[in-house]
Amino acid sequence: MPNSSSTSQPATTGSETASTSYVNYVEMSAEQEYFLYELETTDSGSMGLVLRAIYDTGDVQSFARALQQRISHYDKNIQKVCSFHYQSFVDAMQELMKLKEQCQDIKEETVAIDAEIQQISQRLCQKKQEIVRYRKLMKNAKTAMDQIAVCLPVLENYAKLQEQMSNRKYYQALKTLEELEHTHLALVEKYRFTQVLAKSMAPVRLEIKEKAYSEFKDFLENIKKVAGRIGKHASKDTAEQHSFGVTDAERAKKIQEEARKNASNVEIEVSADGSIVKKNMSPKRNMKMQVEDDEQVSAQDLIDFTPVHRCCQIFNVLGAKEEFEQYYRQQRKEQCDLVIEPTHKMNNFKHYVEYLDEIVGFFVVEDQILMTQSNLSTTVDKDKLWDNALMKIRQHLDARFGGSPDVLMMLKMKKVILLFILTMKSYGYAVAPLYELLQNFRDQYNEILVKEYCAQFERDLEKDNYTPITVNSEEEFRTIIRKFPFYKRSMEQEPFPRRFPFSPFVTDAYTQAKNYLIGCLKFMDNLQLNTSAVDDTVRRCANVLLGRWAGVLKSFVHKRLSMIQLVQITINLGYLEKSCESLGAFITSKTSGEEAIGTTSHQVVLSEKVFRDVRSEVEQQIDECMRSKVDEIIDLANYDWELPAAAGQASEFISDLINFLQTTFTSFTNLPSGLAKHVCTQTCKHISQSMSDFLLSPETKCISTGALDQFSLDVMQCEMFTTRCPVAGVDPQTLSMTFADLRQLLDLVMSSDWTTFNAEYGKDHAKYLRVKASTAIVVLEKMIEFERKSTGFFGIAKGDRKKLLDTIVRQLKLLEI
Amino acid sequence: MDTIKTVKVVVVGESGAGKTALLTCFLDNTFETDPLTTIGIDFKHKIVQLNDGQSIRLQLWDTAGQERFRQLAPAYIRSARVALLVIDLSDENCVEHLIRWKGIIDKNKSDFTSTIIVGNKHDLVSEKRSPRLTAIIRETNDEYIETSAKMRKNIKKLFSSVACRPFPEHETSQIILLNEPRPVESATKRCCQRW
Repeated sequence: MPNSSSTSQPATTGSETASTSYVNYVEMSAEQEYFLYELETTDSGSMGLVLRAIYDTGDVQSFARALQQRISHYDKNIQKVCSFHYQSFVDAMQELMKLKEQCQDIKEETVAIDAEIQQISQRLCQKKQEIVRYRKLMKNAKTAMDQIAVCLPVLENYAKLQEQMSNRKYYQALKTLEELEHTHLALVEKYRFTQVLAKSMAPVRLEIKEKAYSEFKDFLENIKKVAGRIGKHASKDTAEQHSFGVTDAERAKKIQEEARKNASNVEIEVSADGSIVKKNMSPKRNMKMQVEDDEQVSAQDLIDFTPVHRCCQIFNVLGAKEEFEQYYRQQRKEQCDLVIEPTHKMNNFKHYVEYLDEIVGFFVVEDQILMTQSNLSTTVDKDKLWDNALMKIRQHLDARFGGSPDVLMMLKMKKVILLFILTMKSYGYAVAPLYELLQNFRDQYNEILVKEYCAQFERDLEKDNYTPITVNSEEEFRTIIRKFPFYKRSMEQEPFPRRFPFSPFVTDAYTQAKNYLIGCLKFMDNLQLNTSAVDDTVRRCANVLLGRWAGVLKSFVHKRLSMIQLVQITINLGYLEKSCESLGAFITSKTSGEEAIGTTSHQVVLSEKVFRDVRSEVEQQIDECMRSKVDEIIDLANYDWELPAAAGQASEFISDLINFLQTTFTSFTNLPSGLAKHVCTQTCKHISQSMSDFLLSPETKCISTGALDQFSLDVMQCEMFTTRCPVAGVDPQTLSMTFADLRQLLDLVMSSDWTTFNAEYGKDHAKYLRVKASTAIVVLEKMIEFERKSTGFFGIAKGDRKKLLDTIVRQLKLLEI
Repeated sequence: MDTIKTVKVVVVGESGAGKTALLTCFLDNTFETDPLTTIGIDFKHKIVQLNDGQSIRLQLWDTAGQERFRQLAPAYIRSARVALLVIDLSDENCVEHLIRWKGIIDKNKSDFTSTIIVGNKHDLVSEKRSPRLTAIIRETNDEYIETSAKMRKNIKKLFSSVACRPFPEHETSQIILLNEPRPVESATKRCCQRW
């Protein structure tokens, strides 16, 4: 190591100095040498480490002395070198003093030359400066032009944007904005003014969005206002188109229907016009002009759909397409809910016309938008809206008309609803539920009609005079014939006054039946039913009415009706039954015209049998009424069963009874002969039975011969009555048989023909075949009782008669066994 | 005796005079504002009690006033004990009708038949009567009474007279009504119609 240290020293201070130094201090310790070496060679960064090492050895004083020695050593070397080079230094200084003088001369000369050059080149510098300035100017100008060229489109488009915003052309503005932002502005971002522009453009997008929404809301508001008129036009178009495809065979019928539709449209138009007048309060002239203008355009032309298309484009560019679609559907749904919810004041026909027109208008617009902007809404969305609306519409119409008793209103509404159905159908909406609604209305309508006509029927029954119609002139006669189809050839030859067999009730009921059928037909016009379906339905309606009428009649005849009322009702029923055939022909003429001939075999048959039950009921009531009257009169009987001798003439009550019967049966001349005979026969049977009951009653304890004679006279009066044929067509022999039992009994007892009776009893050809032994015994016992009472008053002579009667009774009792 | 006495009564008069209404009012205490026209003849009866204890059975024969049934009336008039001739005071032809029906009765009645003239619909006319009517009533020996079936006026009096007149021993007796009449119907109801 020391050798290495020695080698490095000469390189820096010279070989002589190094060698000398080394040789002089050979006595130092190796450690101190190392430390001094490190201090001499290390940099200042490691100085601390060396000093620390020194202090760590603990011999600081010794090191300090060694250090001081080395410092003295170096000072001595420096003095030697200085002494050695002193003389050269002095020589050099002298040369320098000479050189100084020479340089001063050069300097003065240079300064003079420089001044000269400066003076000469001053103009040149001036020119050069000008050139530099002009060149810089040109460069700046070029740069400015280039930058301005880049900025110009920005400014142009910005101005355009402002103008378009002012003119509310938002879509164009949006396109301009897009171009500005993505094309031009990117190139000039560094400029302050463009930053200001960019900042001011940020709200423009938002403003466009808001404006677009605002315009769309205006659009919605506009179509809301115009929807009614759109609906009106669509309905009118439908009404006109509906007459297309009319075959020659149906032309006349279609013309008639067309006339009805026109009337219906006129009603609608009047309502709409009235509404317009109320809303606009325009002078009549302007209103007319407006209406005329409306006539020239189709339903879709009443509204400008541009705003909705523009909004679609705007939102598409804005990247908010989904948002707008949702907004659109939501708004339309809310608007639809508003439209299908009627106002609270829906209380007359006009309001319903307006209500349905609004709905038609709404869905026409929706259909139009769907066709022209298919991405905004879908068929599914539209159908969903319609299905929901349909349900609500049905609810509202049902709620209002489901219980309506007003048939005229229902007819009007049927026309309006039908037009609504056809209109919606022509735009592709499903209308089956509405047809169901109409058919429900038809059923309700028919039910209301039936109730009305049943009430009328009952009123006719109540107010009828139950007297055959009498006419006093040909005119009156023709009037009745026109009302009711009654044909009796001989009647036209009869002198006046002429009598019809039926009472006014029949003509009234027939007229009401026809009116009812016409009412049913009115509702079924254009209800998508073919001719045969209409015919069948009307016939079923007719049967319903007839059935109801029969029910009303059945209830009616259970009131306290007089005999003559019941009789006339029976007669009337016969003619009502016959009129069913005429009603059938009436229906045919109203529904099918001449075409019916081929389909007659398939027609629903009008049910004339419905009156069969009620007819039986009436006949039964006649029987009961007659029996009741007979009983009332028979109650007047006041037989003195102990009468000593007959009065010689019939009892008063029998005379009255027979007079009553004659009077009553006189009024039976118009009855069906079967019924008249039946009533007559039944009545005679009843009288006979009542008389028998008198004779055989346990309450009658005794009977005198005189009483029997009187009783026999009374029976004889009845028999004479039966032989006078009180009712045409009754066989006198048959009628007389009703009293035969009683007559034989009386003859037997009064003539005391017991021998014959006993001898022939039980034989087929017995004279007293109809008399039972038990019956005879009852009468005989009453006679015996009378004899027993008489004996006490008149002496023994009667005793023999009593014994005889007793004997006969014993014999008869043997016969019974 | 405790036996029930019987009085046969026939009611005649022009159609629509109110014959049936009179009987209905008496029998049922009701008034039909729109009654049916009687056709042929109708029969009703009622047992009434007199205030002296006697029971009377009234046989009431209600005849039809229409022309076609007119020939039936004589038979009943002949056997009737009392004939009620009902005229409509509100009918301007009531005098003519009275004359005609009285002729029919006088021609057909028996010796024991009494006639009572009933001026019905008293409620529809003023108190003043036509001189001809007054003169005819004065001339006749028949009893005359004015009634209103609708207002139930004089009905009891009429039928008391009907029940008692044939029996001198009950000359001054009165009918005891077993049922009180129903309340008078509203004045706003229609008046009975003439047929």
